[in-house]
Amino acid sequence: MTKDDIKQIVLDIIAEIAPDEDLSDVKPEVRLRDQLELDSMDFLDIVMELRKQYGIEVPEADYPELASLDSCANYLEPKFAALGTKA
Amino acid sequence: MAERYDSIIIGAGFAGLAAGIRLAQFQERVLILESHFIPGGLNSYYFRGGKDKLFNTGLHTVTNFNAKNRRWGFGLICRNLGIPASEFSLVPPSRPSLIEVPGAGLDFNNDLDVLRGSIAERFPAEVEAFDRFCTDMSQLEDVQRLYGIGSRTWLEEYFRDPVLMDLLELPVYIYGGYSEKQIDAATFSTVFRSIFLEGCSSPPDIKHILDLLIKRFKSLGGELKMRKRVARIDCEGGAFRAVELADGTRIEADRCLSSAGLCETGQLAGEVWGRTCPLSVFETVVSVNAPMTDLQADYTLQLISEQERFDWKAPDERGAFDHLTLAASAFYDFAEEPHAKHFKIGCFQKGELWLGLDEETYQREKNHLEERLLQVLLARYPGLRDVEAEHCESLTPRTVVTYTSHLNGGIYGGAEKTFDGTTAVQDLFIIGNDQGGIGIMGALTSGVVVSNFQVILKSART
Ligand SMILES: Cc1cc2nc3c(=O)[nH]c(=O)nc-3n(C[C@H](O)[C@H](O)[C@H](O)COP(=O)(O)OP(=O)(O)OC[C@H]3O[C@@H](n4cnc5c(N)ncnc54)[C@H](O)[C@@H]3O)c2cc1C
Repeated sequence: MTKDDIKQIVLDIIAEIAPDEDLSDVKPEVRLRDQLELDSMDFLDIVMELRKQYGIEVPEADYPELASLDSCANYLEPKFAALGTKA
Repeated sequence: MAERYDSIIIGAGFAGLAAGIRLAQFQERVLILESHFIPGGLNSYYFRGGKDKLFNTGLHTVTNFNAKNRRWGFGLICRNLGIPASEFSLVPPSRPSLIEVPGAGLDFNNDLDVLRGSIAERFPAEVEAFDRFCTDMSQLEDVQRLYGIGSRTWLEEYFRDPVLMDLLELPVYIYGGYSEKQIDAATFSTVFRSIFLEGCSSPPDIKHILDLLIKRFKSLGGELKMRKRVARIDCEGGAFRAVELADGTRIEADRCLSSAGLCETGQLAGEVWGRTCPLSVFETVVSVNAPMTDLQADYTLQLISEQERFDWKAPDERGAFDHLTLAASAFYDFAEEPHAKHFKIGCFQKGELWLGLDEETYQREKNHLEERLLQVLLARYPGLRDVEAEHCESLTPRTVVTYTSHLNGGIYGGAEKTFDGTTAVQDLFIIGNDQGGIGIMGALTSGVVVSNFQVILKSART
């Protein structure tokens, strides 16, 4: 899974959680909170969807890693890779 | 070994089911305990004369219909519960509704311009104030201040005509007047917004929504146990430990969310919390089978005050009434005309006056008030005069106590709220009416919000 795939996965989850947000122009390097109206509950829901849809656990201490699309991709890439080897 | 859960929820009403769903999304073991054998609490249902003859208790209208924003109202509920809005099968009213005080009336429906037009006609000097009021309402500046003042004080910052203020307060108190005299301006604004700015609706029946919520809760692995009354809440060192059921079973959990009410939950925990409200309700329902066109009814809801000056309190005498609510449950845009049309008329009563009566007095007083209410119902929906009622039945404060265990038969909770949901006991929270979540949508919101802020976000931080 490439980093771009992972960014798309995160965007798809945000689209589900926040259907009223315009996601056409999200800048990967900018904090999600600075360009979208997301609050702490929304981030928890992103974590929950990652767990539900892909079995990926994000411990509380790592939440800051989900700040931007780029940081999400960097942080989640090894986790998705690990899933691939398990399967 | 005692059983152990992540969370125990007391009550399978709207607040309890919403909290259950929200928590079951994050936790492994969530248990809802309900003392009745049917869910729904204050807005429940029963059958009379056959499996297809369902009666809703309550359900005049479901508010917040057009609130699609995910942080508020219906939108917040759908998103947090993970249930698409369409599955609630809500449809808007097919007739306008009426607010009436002696000598003046206003029409409203889901289009705010109807209410505005009505105000422009009767109170032309106040239209500008009404517009400002509605704008401010959708972006409240200082909610903390509003919790501290009464609704009339707040209305007086906008309006001058006391009759208009009576008319604006009446529906909000009828659908959310949790204490006598004045309720706080914050709760007032929430209820006002829910009814007038976001609009009313109805599902085919309340069972439809309850079934939907229960299905969702169970699909997430939640457990629902009916006919399990919590008899005691066990605390240790100021923190929640376990509940003890009426049958003696002890069940432990990390936390407990109770929709039993603040006073009621306090009693279970051996504490004295909150303050009961004397207001309860008496409501008569009439079911008819005539086609809608024969019934000539003009209004879906009629909210009426017979007082010269609006003064929110239950009459001191049993059977007297000052405020009336009439609801025609069939007058919503259902795809198919419901077979049975239910017409309801309700008034507010001091709950305690209906409790502890001997059976004969109770029946006599019940029949007496029922007859008087039926006269008003026929006067207000004259089309009903020529059709035969298939069924007629009344709910009293005693009925409310029997089926929901709320002290005094309170329908909007006690006179004191815990707006953040916390109690003096750690890990024991209040949801529903007594957290300030009033009405069906209010109770659902309360279950979601308390779970989010007091449980899910807190455990994410630790
Ligand atoms: C006649 C009437 C008409 C109404 N009409 C409308 C309307 O048209 N629109 C609207 O939005 N709202 C209406 N309401 C108000 C609305 O029903 C309530 O505000 C809402 O349902 C409150 O939900 P809740 O979950 O907070 O509490 P409840 O519905 O009271 O739920 C509490 C539950 O806890 C259970 N319980 C209590 N103690 C225990 C215990 N010790 N152990 C186990 N279980 C326990 C009870 O049995 C109950 O099921 C009406 C209410 C009434 C009575």
